[in-house]
Amino acid sequence: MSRLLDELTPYVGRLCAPIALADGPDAAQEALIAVFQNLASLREPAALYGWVRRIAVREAVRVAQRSARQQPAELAELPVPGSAELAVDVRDVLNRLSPEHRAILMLREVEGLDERAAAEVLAVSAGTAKSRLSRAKAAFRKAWES
Amino acid sequence: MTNQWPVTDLDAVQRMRVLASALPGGGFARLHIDAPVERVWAYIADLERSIPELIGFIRRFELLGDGTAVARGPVRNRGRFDVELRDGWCVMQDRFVVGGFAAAADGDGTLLAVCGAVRTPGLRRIVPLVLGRRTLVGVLERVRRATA
Repeated sequence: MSRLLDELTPYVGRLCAPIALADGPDAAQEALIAVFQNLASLREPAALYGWVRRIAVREAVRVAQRSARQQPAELAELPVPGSAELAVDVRDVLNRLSPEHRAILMLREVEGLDERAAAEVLAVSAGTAKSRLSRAKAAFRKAWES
Repeated sequence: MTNQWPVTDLDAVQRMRVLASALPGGGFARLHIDAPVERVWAYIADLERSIPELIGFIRRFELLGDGTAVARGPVRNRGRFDVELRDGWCVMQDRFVVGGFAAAADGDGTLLAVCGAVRTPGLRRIVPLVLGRRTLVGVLERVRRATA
């Protein structure tokens, strides 16, 4: 169990930090507790990482929403993945987004999921995921231009 | 590009909290100790000395050099433990119990955590006696006194 914890902690940390920001360690700890308390319910070991991702992202959004630190903004268009524009301080831009927008952006940019898969992780409809992503991209664009 | 994104990690105490949550009937406690983490961990990591001083039902704890240890109790009972020991982290388990310590710097002092659980369902009724929260806090208080 200790080895599994060593294996999963960096992954969960990568998922939670862009969403929960300063509350990243709290979110990661809460997510890992949920993972370890429910391990018995995981029927297919090969699905471990997808299952952990779903728990971690939802937990990070929940923790971030609970925090009073969130400062959502409204913004225009995200650069294409891998573009040089993303070399700006990502954390600074993430600070201006809501947890839900950070989550969709992270799933797209860090995890490389398409909108349908990201919608599944977040338990929202594909339409909602698409609209959140679009607003997040807009937010990113506006942040650079401000 | 992804290395521009923020990442986070858990310190050893936070990891121990996660591990404890996964142990059925397990207990967990933590305490701030006004001593540097190096001193606190040096004491804990000297397992042959610290474990008999800290754990009431263990009289001797002998490391065998192969990642295991033999613990001897007050009535000549013995158990063979797997021991995972690294900086700030120690987990020990035999057939019946699992327990561990974790330490992280906390300002100039140390945040020290301990957890313990009984692995055999039939023995879980004794958990409050040997591994309950009061017992675990008592263990941490003994570390505080030993490293003052």
